Amino acid sequence: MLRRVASGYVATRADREELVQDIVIALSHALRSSGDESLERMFVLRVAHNRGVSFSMRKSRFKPPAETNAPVSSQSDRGIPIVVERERERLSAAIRRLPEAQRQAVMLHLEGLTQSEIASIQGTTDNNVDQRLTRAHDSLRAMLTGDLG
Amino acid sequence: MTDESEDWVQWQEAWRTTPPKGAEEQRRAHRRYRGAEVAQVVVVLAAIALLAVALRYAASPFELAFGVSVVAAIFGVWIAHRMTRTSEASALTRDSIGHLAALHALRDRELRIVRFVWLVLSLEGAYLTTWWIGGSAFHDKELDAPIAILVLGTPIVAMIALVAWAALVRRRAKAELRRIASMEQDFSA
Repeated sequence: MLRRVASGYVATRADREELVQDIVIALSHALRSSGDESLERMFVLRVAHNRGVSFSMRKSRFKPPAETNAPVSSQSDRGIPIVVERERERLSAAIRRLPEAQRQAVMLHLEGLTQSEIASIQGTTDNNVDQRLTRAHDSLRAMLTGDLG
Repeated sequence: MTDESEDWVQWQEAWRTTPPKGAEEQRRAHRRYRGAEVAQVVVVLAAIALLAVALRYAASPFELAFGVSVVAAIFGVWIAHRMTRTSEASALTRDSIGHLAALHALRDRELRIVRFVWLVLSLEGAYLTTWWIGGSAFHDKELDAPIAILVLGTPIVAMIALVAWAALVRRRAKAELRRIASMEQDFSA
């Protein structure tokens, strides 16, 4: 799950692994500072996305935003068909091009969270999340036409 | 099923294929993080230990005061850094808007620290300039002596380094504040 979150913020494998490492450390710090020992999915996603935002903000100081077509591995090293991995990479690249709030809402929606849960993570209303998802859907569809459809 | 929900189902399937683990990249990132944490502690402890040894052989009250203030500055910077890290960690458990507000406040605090550092350096510079001018006139023929170079040069180098560091922090904080402001607008829309 953390690797999926990371792929929505950074394009290369090296950056992704760095962000995953960053999230794991952030989670352990956040657990200590909150005093709550439970690793609920919502808690993990909240911390992971917040870390993703600050990590990508820091990274963007040094290099331009990720390209639409992120590097795709030429072969699958886990026995997953290359075409499936390629679809996921294309989807991640399209998600990275969305505005921050829409991007986060989309990733949380794809993880299976309800609109109320997304609203609670984003600190907004269910209606706002609904609007973000609708706008994001239109943008993603336009970007991905011919790729996944 | 509508087109929109069909799209979501299709994207959800693609999304849930977990990205491949970059084994080598993961090892490298792990090493880098562990190394950075250890290096930070080692640098602080080594710098303080070195100064502590040097302070035992301080030749004058000036050297002693200078050394003690450098030790205090190193400790101060380290503690400020740890406090920022702790504040950032606790902000991670807030919602997106709260997290951005906390980042905003932290960057603002960095800018205030930079302004404070520049103010202190200006005052110190004003005092030391008078002190240097007076000292230069008094030790007219000894300015090229190693001890004179050390006593005059070290504070100048330290102050220039501090000004440069503060400028870097300011530049980084300003750039991040611009991005935070644009994200805050995005999340509040």
